[in-house]
Amino acid sequence: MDTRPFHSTPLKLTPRGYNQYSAKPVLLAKTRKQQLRENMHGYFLGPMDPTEFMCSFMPINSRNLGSPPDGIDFSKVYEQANEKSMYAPFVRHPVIL
Amino acid sequence: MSSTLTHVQVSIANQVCTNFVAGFTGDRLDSEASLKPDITLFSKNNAAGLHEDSDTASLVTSFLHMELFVEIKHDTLCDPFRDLGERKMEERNSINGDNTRGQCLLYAANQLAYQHRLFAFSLVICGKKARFIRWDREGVVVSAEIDCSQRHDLVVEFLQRFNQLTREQRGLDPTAVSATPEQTEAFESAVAKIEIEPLKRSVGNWKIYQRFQLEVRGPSDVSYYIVGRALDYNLGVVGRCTRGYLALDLSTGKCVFLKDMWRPDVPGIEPEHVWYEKLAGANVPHLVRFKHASDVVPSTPPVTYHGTTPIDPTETTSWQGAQRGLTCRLAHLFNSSDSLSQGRVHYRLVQEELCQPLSEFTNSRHLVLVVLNSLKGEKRPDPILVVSLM
Repeated sequence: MDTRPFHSTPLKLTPRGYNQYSAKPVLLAKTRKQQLRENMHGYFLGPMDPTEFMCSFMPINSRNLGSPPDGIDFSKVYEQANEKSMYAPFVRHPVIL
Repeated sequence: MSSTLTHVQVSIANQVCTNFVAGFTGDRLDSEASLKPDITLFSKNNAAGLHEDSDTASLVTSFLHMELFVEIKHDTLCDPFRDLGERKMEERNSINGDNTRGQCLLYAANQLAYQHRLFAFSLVICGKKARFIRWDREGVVVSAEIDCSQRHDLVVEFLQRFNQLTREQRGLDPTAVSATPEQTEAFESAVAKIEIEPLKRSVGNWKIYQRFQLEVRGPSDVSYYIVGRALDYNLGVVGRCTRGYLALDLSTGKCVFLKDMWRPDVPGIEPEHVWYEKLAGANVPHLVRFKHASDVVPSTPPVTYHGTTPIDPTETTSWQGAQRGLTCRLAHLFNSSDSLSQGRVHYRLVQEELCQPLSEFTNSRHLVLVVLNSLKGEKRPDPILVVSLM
């Protein structure tokens, strides 16, 4: 994968460099995303095995994690017809009273 | 406008993460960052973050209190990365992949900026595929894709593990603690006396921007400062990411300017205070009065890596026990052709003098005078003065 040179020159523009002293209007999220993507190209390391990821960064503080709660059905998340429908099975869904 | 949480139907994240409240926040913008991540987890121990919009009974988006964001896409092709095998991957160079990666970057940048954090986790779900992500100021570690139709237990374990992590293990900075009511009151009254309006306004409303006590270590003692909102949060994810604060020095009761940053951990690149001392020693005019600076060293040494594979024992310029980034030292675990940028050390510097922000000049003459004063050292033969122009 691409990596950023150790001492790259000239100085790269950072999100702060792009925007803080700019006389332009506040940038839209779409432009900010594009700037960040360009700024972060080459800074991603991976892929790390998911179990290795968890063991490396997320220690278990008690003897074991215990069993996951019963009745978790992940297919209810990914088998939805659209993105909007995927939210509710994953997180709390407000009940309209 | 807001009330505590009531009447909810529990789903996967809330069943597993019992210490958190997970909510849909994709329909309302954060009041300052103007972003709306799909799903946000807030700690139940942080009452300030647990508010809901009374109109729609869903959580209020807040990067000040976000513990974990989850980005959800319906299509697998929205995955921001592509695994290539043999511990290699690439940034997915497609409209959908770019869009998801940009969204995640923007959310992570704001989470790291608005909070006193060393790192953060997030979860991306694209159709059946999921990935775990860890962000710090040196780079990003991404897990291999998980097929949720085969191994959804891994995603559940991720949530289970996240649920039982301590604040520090979730990335929150242990050297930044909530200010006491007395400290907050002292801070507010000190700030009220500041005459530089942009600085006075910068601290924000204490009801929204919680006041924190930050520490700066000297050779034999520790100094404490109270801060509110930073001057600017448009930082990005990696790099120096300097945040400037109007701060109350608890030892003197006076306001100072505190800079919190991630300095390069590279031999030969001196910390900022070294240059202040050299410039002051050379009697360079128009220098701001510098008090002290240090790498950030928590009372207990930081432990951020628990893997069995040894990490790269890269030479460091940091103080013993200082908070450092981790990603750079993990680069050798992957088939990347070069080292990943450079290491970073968490660092704080205190200036005794308060200055007008450069963006707040009264007129063009005022701005030109600032530049003129910074150029005055040019006439001197001492090469150190070149630094004063930076």
